[in-house]
Amino acid sequence: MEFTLIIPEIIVFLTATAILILDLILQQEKQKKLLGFAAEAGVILAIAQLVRMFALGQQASSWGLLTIDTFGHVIKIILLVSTGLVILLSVDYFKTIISRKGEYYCLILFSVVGMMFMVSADNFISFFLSLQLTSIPLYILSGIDKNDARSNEAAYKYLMLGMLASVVMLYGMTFIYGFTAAANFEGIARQLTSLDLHENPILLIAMIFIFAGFAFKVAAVPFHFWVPDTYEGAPTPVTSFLATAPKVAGFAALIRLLTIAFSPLIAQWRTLFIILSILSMSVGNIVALSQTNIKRMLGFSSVAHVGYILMAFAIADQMAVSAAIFYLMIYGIVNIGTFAVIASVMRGEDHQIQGLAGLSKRSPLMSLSVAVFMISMIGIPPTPGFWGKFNLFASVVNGGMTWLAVIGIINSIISVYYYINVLRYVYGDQEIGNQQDKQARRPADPAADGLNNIPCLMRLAVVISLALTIIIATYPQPFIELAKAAAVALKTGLWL
Amino acid sequence: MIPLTYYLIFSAMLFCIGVYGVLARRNSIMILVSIELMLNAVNINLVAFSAYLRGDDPIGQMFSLFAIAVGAGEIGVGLAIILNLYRLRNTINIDQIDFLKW
Amino acid sequence: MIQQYLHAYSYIAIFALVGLLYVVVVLTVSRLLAPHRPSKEKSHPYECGLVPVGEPWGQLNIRYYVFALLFVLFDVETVFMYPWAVVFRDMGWSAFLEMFSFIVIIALGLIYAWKKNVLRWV
Repeated sequence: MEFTLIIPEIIVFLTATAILILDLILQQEKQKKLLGFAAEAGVILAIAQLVRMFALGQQASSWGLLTIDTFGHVIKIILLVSTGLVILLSVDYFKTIISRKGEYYCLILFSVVGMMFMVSADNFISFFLSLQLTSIPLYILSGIDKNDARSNEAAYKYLMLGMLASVVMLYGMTFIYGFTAAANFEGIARQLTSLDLHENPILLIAMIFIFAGFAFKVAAVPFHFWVPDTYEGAPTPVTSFLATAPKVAGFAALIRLLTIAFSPLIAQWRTLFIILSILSMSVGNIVALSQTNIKRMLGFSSVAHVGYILMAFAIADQMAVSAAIFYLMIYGIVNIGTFAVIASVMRGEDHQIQGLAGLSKRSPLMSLSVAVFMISMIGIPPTPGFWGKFNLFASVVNGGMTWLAVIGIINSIISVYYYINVLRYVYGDQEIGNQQDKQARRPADPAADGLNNIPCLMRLAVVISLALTIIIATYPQPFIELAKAAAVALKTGLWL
Repeated sequence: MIPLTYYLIFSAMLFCIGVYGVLARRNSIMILVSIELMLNAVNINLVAFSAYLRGDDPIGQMFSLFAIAVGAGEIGVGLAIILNLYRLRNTINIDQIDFLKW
Repeated sequence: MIQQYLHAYSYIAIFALVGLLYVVVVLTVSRLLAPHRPSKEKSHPYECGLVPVGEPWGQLNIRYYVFALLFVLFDVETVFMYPWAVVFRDMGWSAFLEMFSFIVIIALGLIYAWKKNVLRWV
């Protein structure tokens, strides 16, 4: 029993329980800010430990139902960095909204523990358990604002569809288990190769069931129906968490499942992912064009980004997988940055894009950040979004599917419209709507009114995301190397 | 000895009844019950496979224990959210839960 | 194969038949032998000897929900203790420690709920 291998997970878990106890001890409302700092400290400690483990560069080792390898370390660092930013964002956002702050941080950390285990899971049992440990806190988190009917409805829709997705996925798993008599990924791969089940229709259906569950968790078309509603209804920091961490973890688990367990069936699942990817990017981009609510728009744009990432699975070689990991890093940071800006400048509003009008005059820092993030999402050089897309499309072309890359590029061009539309409001000098309209939109909460008093922690979250974006833009090489190291570390039959 | 196929057909039927319930019912509680039915289909599958695989493979039984426990937790959270929904909106009919447009 | 299958079920069929027959016989016998003198008191549904109040389809108080839920959760956790008890002797202290930490984690949740007054009947 090598407990040292899962020290990062243990740190995060112990932090979560410590917060729960601390919440009982702290009586005054003022002291509750401490809970947020405790969560942040735990996350930073875990990142430090992961970096140390990554630097040691140990061989992949199996521990119970988990595989601890470099791939896992890299993904977990991405996960924890985005979690750290979300916690930073939450401390001031939730100052007045929710009364039980301990539960909020505790749930976020539990969910992250689930994601960390999910990234390492190499067995259906551990995978399913960690998936549920990830999802159940997320259901509660999206409804954390108990007195807000919208937040509650967001949670309701996410929960109903999420439960359905996990049951369908589980049903698929049972058939894989029944066919192969194994639940661990390597055993499944061995059995699938030796049994020669390629043409078995039930196996294909079981696989489709499992992918349907994954497609729900990462929000790919046609399993994306919860995305706009849940993104809109959930409190903004929770939305930023939903939009990044579960997707990163879901994709990482999908990579492990496909490249290890289902590697003998590559011919079968490739086609499925081509279809999923084309559907996701097209539907995501086209529906995003007509959105007036910025959180819904970002929801559909994230569906489109999922479509780009899914292209990598249509190729599924080492280059494509490392490009997907690199894209995930950028996607996570840029998305959290965007939501951080929205959370800091649109508190208590209804998140219409018009609400951003004239932002450049009110807050230069925020408008600059929005500009950088939007341009990065489009993928115009020299932003990190460009490096991500460039790598991804290059790997698709390299894999011999130029037509798929062309569809991706056409979709990126469509997406220019709605991202630039946001900037048109931010930098345009026309004040949209007359004075009365603005009066009506003015929120009751005085803190949300003055942009001058954006709490410093929120500002810090935006600045850190901006800084990371700029660092990746100028020095993409180390990050590309990191993604490559992660892909190489996978013990897969596809490229060893 | 009852052949494995019978168990699989039974669980498939149970699963389909669950899917039908999810699609046709309008009451949130009934949808939860239908999902639970699907979960039971999964458990039957797991236990049946585990009994019929070479040498009584115990993994399936273990898996079904975990699935039961996790399912109970999920249902608990689900009921809590539906209860809160009722408190705020006075309805649990999914057709009337439409503040956020689809 | 199918015959074997049906054979396995024939026991159940016989059992069900005997059970049904028993019910019919007992009910007929009691109807034939018992004296029949109905009164208003006797036709009331029995409720621990008290006069029944309200509708039979009365709704339960929603406050029971928390207790029902907690019961279900803790009830299901016991599921893990049976396999644990079977292998406990072979695995020794490590099994004990694992179950101990499992229970401590659950107990922590319960303590939290308790301290936050979830369990209080308001």
